[in-house]
Amino acid sequence: MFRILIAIALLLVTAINASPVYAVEIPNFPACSNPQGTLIASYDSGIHGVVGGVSYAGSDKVYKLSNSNVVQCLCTTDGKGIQTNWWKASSLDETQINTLKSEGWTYIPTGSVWGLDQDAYLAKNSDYSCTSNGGTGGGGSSSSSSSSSIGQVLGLAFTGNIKLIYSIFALGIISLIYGQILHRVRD
Amino acid sequence: MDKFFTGLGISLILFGSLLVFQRNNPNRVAFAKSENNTSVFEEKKTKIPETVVIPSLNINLQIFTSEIRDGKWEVTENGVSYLKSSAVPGERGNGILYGHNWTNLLGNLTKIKTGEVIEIVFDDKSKKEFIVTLIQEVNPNDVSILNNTTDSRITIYTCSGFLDSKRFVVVALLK
Repeated sequence: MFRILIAIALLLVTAINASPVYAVEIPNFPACSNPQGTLIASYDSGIHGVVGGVSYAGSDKVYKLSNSNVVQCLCTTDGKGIQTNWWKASSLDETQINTLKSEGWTYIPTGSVWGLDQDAYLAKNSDYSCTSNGGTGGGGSSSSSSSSSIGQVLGLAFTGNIKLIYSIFALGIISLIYGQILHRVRD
Repeated sequence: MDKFFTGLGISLILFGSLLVFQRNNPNRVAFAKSENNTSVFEEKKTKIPETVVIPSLNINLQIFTSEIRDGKWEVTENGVSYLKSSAVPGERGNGILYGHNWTNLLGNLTKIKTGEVIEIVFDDKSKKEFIVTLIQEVNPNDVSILNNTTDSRITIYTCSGFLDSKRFVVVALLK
């Protein structure tokens, strides 16, 4: 009975987390709508390449986040925003690189072709809105206000309860085990 | 004493199982139409946003007004929360909507793609359409997504990532 309960509990605990668990922890890349880091390249106009073989006319800015991470913010003349996250591959092994490639990252053997260090990089594109903020400084017709109408807020809402669920299961299992130990001691 | 702990353990596991069911059940268990705070819309002299619809994800949820009290966000379990101090969806500014990442609420929001449509339906059955222009995953302390804007947009977010440690944010501009 006791073993069956433990098995059911463990099965539930392992089954509840629907979120994918990545073998590689992807660093935080701030969105181009709110650029961070050090600006290392800035072009107000011109033709700029994007990983994947497509080039666009527009503004292009590159922000260095750390020695391993760079963000490229491209805003096309027609208002399309493309953010490319660049991640130096030297800190990753082959398995991790393959995992990231399966997640949509592109392996770039030499970053120098893109104006970066000579090391290998992984890059991934995503879209962002560059028509509505000053993040890239180009193509915009309106700008985002830095002030918030919300007031002083320290964090976003907590809209998940997975930690609570894990805690309850953990407490339940501990109580069960403790109860069984007491039962055997009594016998 | 041993029976107490065994009973407590079984109760906690059953309660945890109920929370798992609540989180993953595709059907809404309780969808009671609770009192919505309409005064905020009367003050702003606007129509009342009642539901948020994302056709591509088969999401159709009631909107409940909420606020931040002592630094804590009110979060409804029956639909989507609308932060009443933010812009009314469709008006100039940034309307903030958020909800639990449960399957029957915003759990599928992470499947949304740029270019897709989000509709806000008002109390007079009129609706405003927004086009998804930005999708990003941020840390919980990245409050820049709440900044007001000079355009008309909505920002919808929910928890994501390992142990709900991230926030999945969708920004959509008025069509």
